[in-house]
Amino acid sequence: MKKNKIYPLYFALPALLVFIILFLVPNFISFYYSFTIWDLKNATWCGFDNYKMFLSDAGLALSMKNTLIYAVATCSLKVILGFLIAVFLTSAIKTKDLLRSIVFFATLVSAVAVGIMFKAMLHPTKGIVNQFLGLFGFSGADWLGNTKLALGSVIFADVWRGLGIAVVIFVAGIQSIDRSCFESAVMDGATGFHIVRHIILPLSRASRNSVIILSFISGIRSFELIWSMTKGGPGFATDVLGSVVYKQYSAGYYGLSTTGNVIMLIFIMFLAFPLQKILEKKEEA
Amino acid sequence: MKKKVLALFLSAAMAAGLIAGCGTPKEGTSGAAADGAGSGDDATTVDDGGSGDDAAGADSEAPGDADGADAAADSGADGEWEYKEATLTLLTFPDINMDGFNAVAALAEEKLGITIDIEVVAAGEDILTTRQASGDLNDLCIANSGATLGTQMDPENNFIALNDNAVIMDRLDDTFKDAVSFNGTVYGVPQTSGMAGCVMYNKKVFADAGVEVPHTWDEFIEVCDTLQAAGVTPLIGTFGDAWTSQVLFLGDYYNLKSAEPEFAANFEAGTQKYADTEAAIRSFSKFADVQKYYNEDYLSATFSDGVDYLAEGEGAMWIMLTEVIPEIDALYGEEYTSQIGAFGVPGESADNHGLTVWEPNALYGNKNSDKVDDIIRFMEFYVSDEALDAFNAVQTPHGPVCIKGYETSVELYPAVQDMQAYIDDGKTSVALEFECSVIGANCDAICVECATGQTTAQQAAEKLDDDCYKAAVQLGLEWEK
Repeated sequence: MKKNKIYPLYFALPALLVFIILFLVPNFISFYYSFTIWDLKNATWCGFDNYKMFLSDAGLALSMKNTLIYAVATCSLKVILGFLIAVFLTSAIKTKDLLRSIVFFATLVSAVAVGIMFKAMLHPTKGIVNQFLGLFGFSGADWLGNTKLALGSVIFADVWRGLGIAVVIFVAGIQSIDRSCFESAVMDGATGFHIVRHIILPLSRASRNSVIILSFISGIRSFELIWSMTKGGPGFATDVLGSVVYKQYSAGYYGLSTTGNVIMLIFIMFLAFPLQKILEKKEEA
Repeated sequence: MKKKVLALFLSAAMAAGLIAGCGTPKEGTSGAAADGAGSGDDATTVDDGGSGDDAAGADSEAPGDADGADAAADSGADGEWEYKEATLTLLTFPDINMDGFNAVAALAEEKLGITIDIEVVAAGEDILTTRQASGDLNDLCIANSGATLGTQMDPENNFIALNDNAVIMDRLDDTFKDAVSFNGTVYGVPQTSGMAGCVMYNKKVFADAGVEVPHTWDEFIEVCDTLQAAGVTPLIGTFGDAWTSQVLFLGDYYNLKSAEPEFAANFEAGTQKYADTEAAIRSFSKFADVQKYYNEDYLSATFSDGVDYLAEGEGAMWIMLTEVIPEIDALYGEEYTSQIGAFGVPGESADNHGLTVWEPNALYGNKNSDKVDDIIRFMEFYVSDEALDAFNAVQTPHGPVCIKGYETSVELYPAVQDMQAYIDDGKTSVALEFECSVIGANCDAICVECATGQTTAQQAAEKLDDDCYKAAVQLGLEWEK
């Protein structure tokens, strides 16, 4: 009887096949190529030279730092803003369906399109942002040209684009909270703030964890927006791991860029797995 | 039972999708027998010349060369051309001005029966190497001459060697031949005219501010000060397109070479570095000297913004390649190009004010194509007087035409005449990338970093050394740090 409940293994076969052919095999192959000088046709074994070269690169520290700043900043902003907007959108307002669609809309636009759009809007002399600021007598900055501001500008664009998904996950989480909690709280005289602080916040923990993990990983892997807005510049000021690897690839350093990808994979695993463990622990507690 | 059937059906559909998706059959092994005509993957194909693969679904069927009747004919002598219909595909990039080429292609269609199917790829030039590796390279491509030919394009396995073709070899001038040679074999013909990396200036703005062309770097700085005091933006910066930043550094090579005549050879041999060469550091330090003279939006302005700024006199000078002159011509007309002059990046001595020149992009033929004869027929035509006249009639040269014994009848731009004066005086040098095969990939970002004051000239030079070392190792060049 019990045996019948288990699906036969061959049900998993198609998906497993896809996973093995398109994910596992390329990953193992790329491990091999990361130890070679590779021109796509011939690969010469070079041991750990690529790893030494990648890790001793003068710009690596900066790109690692940028990657972490980017991931932490986009992740926390998405969590905080996403939560607040989700609370607002689950409250009793009239046009919430429309508003939810509008908030989600930005996510549907391709990252490169968003990048090009923001790049145009943030242009120091012709961009709409500085022209708008000019109306109030402020002189705007060179948002993408100033090395101190450029990364922040890209983070802003990323949050604008990624907020929609965070909101949707939060809305789903908040809506799944049992209504009776709210009713009894109101009966006990809880204010709106109390409800958010002591009911919604703790009970939406599962969705919050999803948002944190998803946006953190996508922050570490970020590439499209950086590339379409600054190409890692000015100079190397906004280089992240993804753009460093891409530049190496496009220069024809196939072996080295594969090494970069392997290192990035390890880097993400080292950050994401412990983070997930910590979050899961909290969830159970 | 129903569920089981459904599950089976779904997994069958999935498996079919998998096979259709990744099992696109490719004729032969990679690298051999490229088709060219079909597979327009991520690119925009302009003027599709009869490769009928717009049927929905995967383009898995091998394109069947509907129009490419195999030609095995020798081309005729200059002037009289063999007529045989064929379609060749060409890979080019958005930054490349195609006006002249299109004129030649139209003429080729009429005289040779060769239709050129132009594909403009908006991606970086890495698409070229990727296509070479996958065997999808077009019949013809327009790409850099100079060091990148050997380091990035693997010409021996991909491009048609032209050494045995007297028609073409007799036409190419020797400097250009060097620029398209790898291990002694010549692979390309000049796609357009050569150019200089120099300071282009708006004569009207200069006259209004009462300044003259400077001949030393100190004079150049004085001119900038005078212009700034007169309320003019002295220097145009267009670092929104990072590659434009390199022109000051690379265009200063004449001065570097004057100080260190053996630099290119020593650098290639690995005995001399940028970081321990004073003249090279001086080249980088020029970025710091001029930072305060740039336009307000110099980090966001793009190449096409720069064209406008220079033509309209919003900035007095732009350190750029002379290929910008035909752009101004196309957008603004002769009235404006007559106002643009050019001078080399000034050095220390007024007596030795020279110019750094670039060899043009080259047109390369794919040796793995099944239309090699047609490709050669087209290349022979491309370097003929007839084709050059057609080219220059619509796209006036922005520098020397790299063809022996050819004199253009069109009137040259004043800036190109300025440039010619340096050539006549013998005060020119080709850019470093034509004298040395080791070049890094990040020179543009290193220049921007230095120009924005994030690094000193010394640090920039060290970074460039590291960058070159990385290139040498990764591209398998024999070079020691």
